[in-house]
Amino acid sequence: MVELSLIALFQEPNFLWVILGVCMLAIATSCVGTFAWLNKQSLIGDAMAHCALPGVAIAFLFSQSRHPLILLPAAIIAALTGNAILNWLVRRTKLSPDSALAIVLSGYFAIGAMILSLIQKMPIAGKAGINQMLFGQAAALDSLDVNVLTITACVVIFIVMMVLPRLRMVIFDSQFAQTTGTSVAVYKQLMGVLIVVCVVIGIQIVGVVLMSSLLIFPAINARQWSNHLHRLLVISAITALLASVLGVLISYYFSNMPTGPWIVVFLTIFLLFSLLFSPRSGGLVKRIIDYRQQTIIHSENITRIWYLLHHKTDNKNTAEFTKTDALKVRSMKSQTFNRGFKYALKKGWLEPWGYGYRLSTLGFSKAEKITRHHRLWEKYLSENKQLPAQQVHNAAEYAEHIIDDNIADKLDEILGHPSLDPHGQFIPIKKDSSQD
Amino acid sequence: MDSIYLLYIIALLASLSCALSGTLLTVQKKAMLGDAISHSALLGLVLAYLISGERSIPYMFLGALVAGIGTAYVTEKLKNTLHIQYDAALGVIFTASFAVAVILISQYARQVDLDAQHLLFGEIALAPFDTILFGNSDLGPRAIWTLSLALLCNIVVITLCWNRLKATLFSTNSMQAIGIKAQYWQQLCSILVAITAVSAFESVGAILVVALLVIPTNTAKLFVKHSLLQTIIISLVISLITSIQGILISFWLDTAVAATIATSLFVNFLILSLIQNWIYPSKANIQTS
Amino acid sequence: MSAAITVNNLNVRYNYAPVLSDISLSIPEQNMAAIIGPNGAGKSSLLKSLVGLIKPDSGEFSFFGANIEKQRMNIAYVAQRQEVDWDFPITVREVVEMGRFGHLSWWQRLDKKDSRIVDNAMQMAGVTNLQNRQISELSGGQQQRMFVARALAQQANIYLLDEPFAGIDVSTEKALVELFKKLVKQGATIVAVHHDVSTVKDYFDYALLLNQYLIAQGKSTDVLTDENLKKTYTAQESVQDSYNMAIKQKQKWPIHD
Repeated sequence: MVELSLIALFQEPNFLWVILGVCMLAIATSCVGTFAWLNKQSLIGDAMAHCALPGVAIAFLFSQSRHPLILLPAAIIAALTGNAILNWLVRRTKLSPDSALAIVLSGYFAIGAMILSLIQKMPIAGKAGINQMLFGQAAALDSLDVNVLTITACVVIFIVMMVLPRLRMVIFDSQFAQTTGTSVAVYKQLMGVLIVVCVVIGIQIVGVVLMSSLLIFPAINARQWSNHLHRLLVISAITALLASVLGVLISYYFSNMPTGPWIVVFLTIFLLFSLLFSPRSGGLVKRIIDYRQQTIIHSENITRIWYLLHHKTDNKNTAEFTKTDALKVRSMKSQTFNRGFKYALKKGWLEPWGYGYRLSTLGFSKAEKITRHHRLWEKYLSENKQLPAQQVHNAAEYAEHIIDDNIADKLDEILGHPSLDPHGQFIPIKKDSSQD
Repeated sequence: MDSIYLLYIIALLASLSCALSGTLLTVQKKAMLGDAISHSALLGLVLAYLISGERSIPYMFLGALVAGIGTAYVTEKLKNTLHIQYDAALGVIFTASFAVAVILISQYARQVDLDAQHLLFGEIALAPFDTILFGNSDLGPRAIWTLSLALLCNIVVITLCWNRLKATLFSTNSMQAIGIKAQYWQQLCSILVAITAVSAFESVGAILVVALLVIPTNTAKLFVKHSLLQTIIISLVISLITSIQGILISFWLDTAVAATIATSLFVNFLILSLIQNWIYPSKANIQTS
Repeated sequence: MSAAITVNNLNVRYNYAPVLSDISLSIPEQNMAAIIGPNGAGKSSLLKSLVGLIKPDSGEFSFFGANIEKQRMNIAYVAQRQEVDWDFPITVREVVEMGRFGHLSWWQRLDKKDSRIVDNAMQMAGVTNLQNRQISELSGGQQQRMFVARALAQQANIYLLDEPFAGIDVSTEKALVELFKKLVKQGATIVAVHHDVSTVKDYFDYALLLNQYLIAQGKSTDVLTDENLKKTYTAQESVQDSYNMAIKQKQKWPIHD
């Protein structure tokens, strides 16, 4: 199973060239894949991969050679014609895009299979290798294959980088692009050509069936982390690169493992990781963030309880209150209360005093600020929106934690610097030294 | 029975089933589901073999079926949770499934010929010879049994649930609003497609299945615009005629039957599209593509 | 007059950004009510929440005092026209027939009574002569009338219409308004998201002004004051925007003590 030790592997020049080629391929494919995804044509990689078959079959039939410089151009030409037919079907006959993809995919593959069935009846040497085409095998590449792969991929990357700004405009707002004189059709066709080229050269590594994964996975993955085009491209490229290198490593190390599936396995692992841990998409990180936010909200509520208690007592000298006193004012689950209380202590808003706890100066201004926000919001809602009175209070209970000083000042201004809230309680004035 | 006639019958059964469920698929704009199922079914085959320990047809069929239904179901869920395109969700699911399947095969099932290639390319000409033995009697080609069952499912479901299917496929939201559970009906369609496809894979091959699901319907739609029922009927007719055409051509050229039928479907569709487009150039697109 | 629809404390968010906040309203029965407000105000979302197409973060609804599940038959919802696949191979009549499906179990077919209701609905909406056409052959006004016919076929008491007059010709608009007023006289309650402030007083008895919050509700003659319109369409938007942005950034949402 383990044929070469890892170090020996990295000293093999052929292996290094393969890795380089695969890296270039990964970057190129993930870039064009991101654009395909943005263009809502995710499975075009799958379709183009299938369209390559008749090209390969015909070229083999006539040349009887498996030379890459014969088969690859034939495959590319076949896929390009498939792409052209696809575009014609969608644009001219108003065929639904998903149906068009399925029709062209199955049609072309059928033609290829038909020709293959002819070939298989003929006494031609070297007919085996269909497996390799279906599933991909990086270790089977010779130096010519690798060179063609690397150079082509680099050309694709170069072209994408050159046309990037215009391309972005075309995808996001093709009507605007047309009015500024940019030909939308040309750029879309260019993208089509680049996708075809990447897909065809990639089939040798990844196989026909799995080729679409190198276009789709990196894009979805990147989307979990960012919505900016440049970042999408970079994150896609990195993901594709890592997954491809790891996949190639595994298939060299364990010689009976095909490359394509392992690349997909790593792509899936990265995707799962992103889904769980990226802050944008929910999953674990979000839960942790949520939990923390909630703790902060609880602690602010608790601090405010002390503030209210403080204002309720007649004797302004008695500053301390117990937890039980607090819970009488506002009931909470004890677990929630303790959680928030600990946080308030930690932040220094409350401090032990006498037989209980009291507000610190920091805590006092914090609570006063929140109360100001609460009452300003209540005033805003009751004057400008229609809510039942109890709901006004509930809405403010929530808003008080969201509003910052900026919004509060705006409210103050709009409402004309009010001094009382709808319940007749006074609205605290803003003090200059305040921390959030 | 003469194997040539069996060939026609098998082609007929496959065409009918696929035209029925394929139309429902096309109308939901989920045409690539057939292709996806054809790939992810491999995982079902492998797992069935590994779990049952034997290469027995019922288990493998069941495995492929579960994989197919699972693919349809999980893809919907993925699409809704991640808010991505249906096609993208399909791509994720079927490539991941296929990859795992291939790895499992190379690790644990190398020595057993699970016939992955057969799954993909299929050979309908061999199907008449693949018969079921029950006790001592030969019940005839297995393909005819599985395909007939699939056809029966299609006919029963579509005739019984015609109203619901038509309504929920057309206006999901409005039906949801009056309390009809549109998602369940969509899932039912996907399951029907999975049953049809998996039943047909073994005898007819994945390429032809995908073609049969999608091409006849779209050819029919070139001519019929106003009635779902007529679309189904015309796609059945187109499917049957083209199957015969394909079989005849394959005998003439000595090529694989399934691939030839699929090619005929494709070529006929292109020619008819061209003619239709030439006679009635389409009106300006409402949206830019 | 009792309330046909009551909403209590409705909150809807999309991706953490608030769409509807703290909405409590009630619409009296046998009224034609308009929901107006600027774009993105949440008007469509309000209707969609009512029929369960959107799951709100909080909110209770009642229709004639009862839960929606008991009242499904009584509520007809007409979505915005662009949400439809016009290439679907289906005729006008088949679409209108769908209005009966809520009353039928999945295996049942339409009987004579249903057919008569469908004929009647098409006649009221003025689409009888179009019934065998495929839906993409219709003009905008005809399409709208077809969907109204489907709603009529439901024989509902409450009609929820999302921008019924958008993108249709003047004569269709007038015809539809007449039809709706007739329905209200016969006891229906109609709630429509409406885009044109200038016609609210003529077409509708009741109005709700919405801009993420409910600004005002009441008789259309009373509630469409300059001040209310200003609050709905302009002014405090910057405060509301800042607030919404703060929610989105901090990703906080109320938790229960």
